[in-house]
Amino acid sequence: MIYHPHPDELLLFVTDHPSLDGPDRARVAAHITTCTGCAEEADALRVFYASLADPSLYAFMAEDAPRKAALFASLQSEMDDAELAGGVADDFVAELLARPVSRWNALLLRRPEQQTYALAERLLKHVDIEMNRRPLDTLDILNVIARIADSLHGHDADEVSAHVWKQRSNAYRHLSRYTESLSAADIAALLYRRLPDGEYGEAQAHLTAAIALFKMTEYQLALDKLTPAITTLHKYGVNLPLIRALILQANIFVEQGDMARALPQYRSVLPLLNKIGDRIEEARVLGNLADCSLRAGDYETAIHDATLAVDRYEQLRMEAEAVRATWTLHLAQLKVGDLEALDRLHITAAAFEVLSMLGEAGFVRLDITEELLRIGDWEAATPIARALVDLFTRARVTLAQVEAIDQLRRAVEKREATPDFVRQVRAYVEAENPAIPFTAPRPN
Amino acid sequence: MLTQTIDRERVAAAYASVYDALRFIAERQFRIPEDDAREIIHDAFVRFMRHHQTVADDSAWLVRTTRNACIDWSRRHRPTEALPASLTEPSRDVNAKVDVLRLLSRLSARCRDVLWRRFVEHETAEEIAINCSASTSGGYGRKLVYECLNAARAALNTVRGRA
Repeated sequence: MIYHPHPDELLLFVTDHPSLDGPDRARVAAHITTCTGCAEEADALRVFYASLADPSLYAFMAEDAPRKAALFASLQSEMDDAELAGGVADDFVAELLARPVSRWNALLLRRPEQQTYALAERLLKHVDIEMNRRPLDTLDILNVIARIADSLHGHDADEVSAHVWKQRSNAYRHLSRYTESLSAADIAALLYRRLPDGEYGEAQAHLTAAIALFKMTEYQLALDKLTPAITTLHKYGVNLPLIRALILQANIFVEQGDMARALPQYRSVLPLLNKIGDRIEEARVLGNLADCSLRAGDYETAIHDATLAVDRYEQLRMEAEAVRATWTLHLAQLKVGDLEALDRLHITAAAFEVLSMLGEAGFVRLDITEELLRIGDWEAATPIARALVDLFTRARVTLAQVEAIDQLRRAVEKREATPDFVRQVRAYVEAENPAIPFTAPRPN
Repeated sequence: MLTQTIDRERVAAAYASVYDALRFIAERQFRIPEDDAREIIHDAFVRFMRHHQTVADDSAWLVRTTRNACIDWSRRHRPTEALPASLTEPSRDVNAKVDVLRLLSRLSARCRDVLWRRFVEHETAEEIAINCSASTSGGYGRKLVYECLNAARAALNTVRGRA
């Protein structure tokens, strides 16, 4: 193992501390002539400790103490005002929510004093909550918030308008109106640019555009948006948009089949999620790591990460996600020769069925079939292949997909099916392209 | 995402630990007059108050936001002066000073005093022991310096996001 001085040792070295004796001092000195990383760290520490000896900095801190306190008092009064305005806005939001959105503008016209930043803030929060469930309705709410923004001034007006356009972009994306989503994200970026922390918002708008491009499977364009956004967000330390951007980037690497970049990227996000305390996203990243490791053939790591993901999801009572992670876990266990994992996959399939996730249940049973064919257990494979037709029919896949599954059933019954046949059926069903009929591979 | 509940303790803690660094950036680095500098810092904290729920590294966020506001101020008030690259991408020396201010704000008054005596006044270990405690032992003085340096290192790691 290469020797690198411990940070404490480096600290003693740069501060000429007497507790670092001659030979140790010589060893550190010799090392930093050959190690760029340690030399840079030592230089940074030297500059830092030189600044620590700068008397003007101590004087600078001392000179402003009274004004510092006065400015903080002013900030506290700003917080009081914000809380007061927030309380008023909360009451008014309750009044608005008791009416259909179509009547909100009329009410706001009668109560212009309610058109405040605090109200816009609360309605934007409401949009955030409703976005996944009712994206079309959020567009109407966003039109109301845009009117409130028109009555605000300065940065408040720009900020609310920018948020409105960013959320419009999200809504359009949910509605699969991708071109509109991209245009809205561009407008949001322009508006954010007017704010003092504009580049932070602008980077978030680019992230929103990148998500739309990801959905459009325009992976390279998404990366082009994402890479500079990540650079900008990094400058603000650890923050939620940065983490989301890094995860999206890793997701793109996965879609591009680049596990070598996806794996370290997901891994690097874990401590950030831990720092920000986002347990749900942490569980998702662990699940993604397990999937990637499985795809990359690193089964032991896949087992490790999938076990952690299952554990986290169960703690969070996210049942469907927990079952999905057990699927990865058992597949990885199967790959390392644990044949009992086959029984556990049956339990996973049953769990998906209980959750009415019939498509997922079908895919798990396809995995089981593939493994049974690999080990030549036709007796066990046949009833499963028969049940698959019913399962996928109930999952409401297309007729062409059911036909592909039925071809698999017949091949299994005739003992002509191979694991590769199963993989082809799976790829066909996943591709969801009913225009092209499934062509069974010729039996050997 | 916007925030609706203000974590007042967190805003207060951020204020205590990063205010001097922000003032250094505005007044010393960008040479912005005191009143305008304070307005810029105040605005940065108001924005932080609104957005802190999406931020994990409070002081990094505030430093960056203030620096951007200072750049905007400079462009507005000194439109004929080219903004030196050292302002948009500050040197290691400036970053170190900002870090020192951030970490000194995090240290106890006693440790600040010990570091001042050791690094600025160049007091000996014995003098530090006498001035900072009832002891006359040089060993105790060295222990005090070492403890405060360690506290400074820990604060530095936090300031640089390595904690």
